[in-house]
Amino acid sequence: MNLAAKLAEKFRVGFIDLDIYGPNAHLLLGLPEVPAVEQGEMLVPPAIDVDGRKMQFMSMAMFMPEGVGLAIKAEYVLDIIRTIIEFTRWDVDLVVVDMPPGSQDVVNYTLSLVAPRAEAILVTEPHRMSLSDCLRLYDILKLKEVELAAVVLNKYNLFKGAQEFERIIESVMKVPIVKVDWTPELQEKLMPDLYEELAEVVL
Amino acid sequence: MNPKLVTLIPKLIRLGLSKWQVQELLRKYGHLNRSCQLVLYDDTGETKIWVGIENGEVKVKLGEYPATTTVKMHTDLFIDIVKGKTDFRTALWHGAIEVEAHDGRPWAYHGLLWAGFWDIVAEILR
Repeated sequence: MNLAAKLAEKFRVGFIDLDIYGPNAHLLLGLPEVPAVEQGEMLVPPAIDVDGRKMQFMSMAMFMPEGVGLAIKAEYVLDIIRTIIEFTRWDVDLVVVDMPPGSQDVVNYTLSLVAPRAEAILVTEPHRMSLSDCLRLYDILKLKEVELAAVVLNKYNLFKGAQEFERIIESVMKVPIVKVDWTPELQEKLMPDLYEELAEVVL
Repeated sequence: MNPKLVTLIPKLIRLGLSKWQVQELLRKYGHLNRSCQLVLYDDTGETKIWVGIENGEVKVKLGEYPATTTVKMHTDLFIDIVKGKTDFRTALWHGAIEVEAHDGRPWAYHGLLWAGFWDIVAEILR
C-alpha cells in the first residue's frame, strides 16, 4: 500500500488487494465512491484519492458486504483472481499487487498469471519463524520465473536476530534489502515516505 | 412452478416498463447483450427464467433460452433476494448460488456484475 502510494506520486498506479478472504487495504486507502463497472467487455477499476495521489484500486472489499465471510470452493477463489488480473482494464503505468501471506494456492496461481511481465518484492519480518517461509517463496519465484527485485524487512527494529536474518537473505537472494522500522503510526495511516528507498530500488 | 413465484414473475417481466429505474440497469450492464438463465429449484422442481439485456432493453421471460450465464439457486433464496431480505453478493460468497459462464469469462466476472444487477432489481421491486 505504502509503496503504491509512493509510486503514485510520479506514476499512474493501480493497486490490487489480493487478499480475497480478508481484504483490509481499504481500511487505510478508503473505498471508492463508485463501484467497478463494465466497459467494453472488461471491468474498469474505480479510482481513489489517497492524500492527493490518484490510484486505480481493486479489492474484494468492494464486492463483499461488510462482515460477510467467504465460503466458496478454492477453485472459485482462483477464478476471482483471474477476473481481477485478466478481465480488468488497468489504465496505469504499473500495478502493485499485495498478495496475502501464506496462501500458497493464491500465490502460485497469481504468479502464473503475471509471470511474463512482473517482478516480485518479498515482504517479511526478520525473525527465525519467517525465514523458511521466505526461502520457500523464493523457490516458487524461481520456479515461476518471476524475478525478485528486492526484499523488505518490516519491523526491523523489533527483532533481536534481524541482522543475522538480513545476512542470510542477502547471501541467498542477492538483491537489495530495504529495512523499515516499525512505528505505531503505521497502524493508523499510510506513510509512503518510509518506502521511498524501496520505490527507488523498484524503479 | 413453485406457487411463491406466481406473483413475482409478472413483476419481473414488467421490469422493462419502469423506464427511469431501468436506465440505471442499462447504464451499468447494458454494454453487452448480457443474459442469464436463472434456474430456481425447490421440492416442486425447477423453474427457468431468462433475464437479459437485448438491444438496450431489459427483458424477462419464462423458459430456457441461450444465455451468457447460468445462475442457479433455491427458489426461497431468490425470493429473499428480490424482496431485499438478503442480497445476491452475500448468497454468492456463502456458496448458495452457482454461477456458470458460457462465454469463456470467469464465473466471478459474471457473478460480480449480476450481483449489481439484482441489487437494483430488488430496489425497483421494493
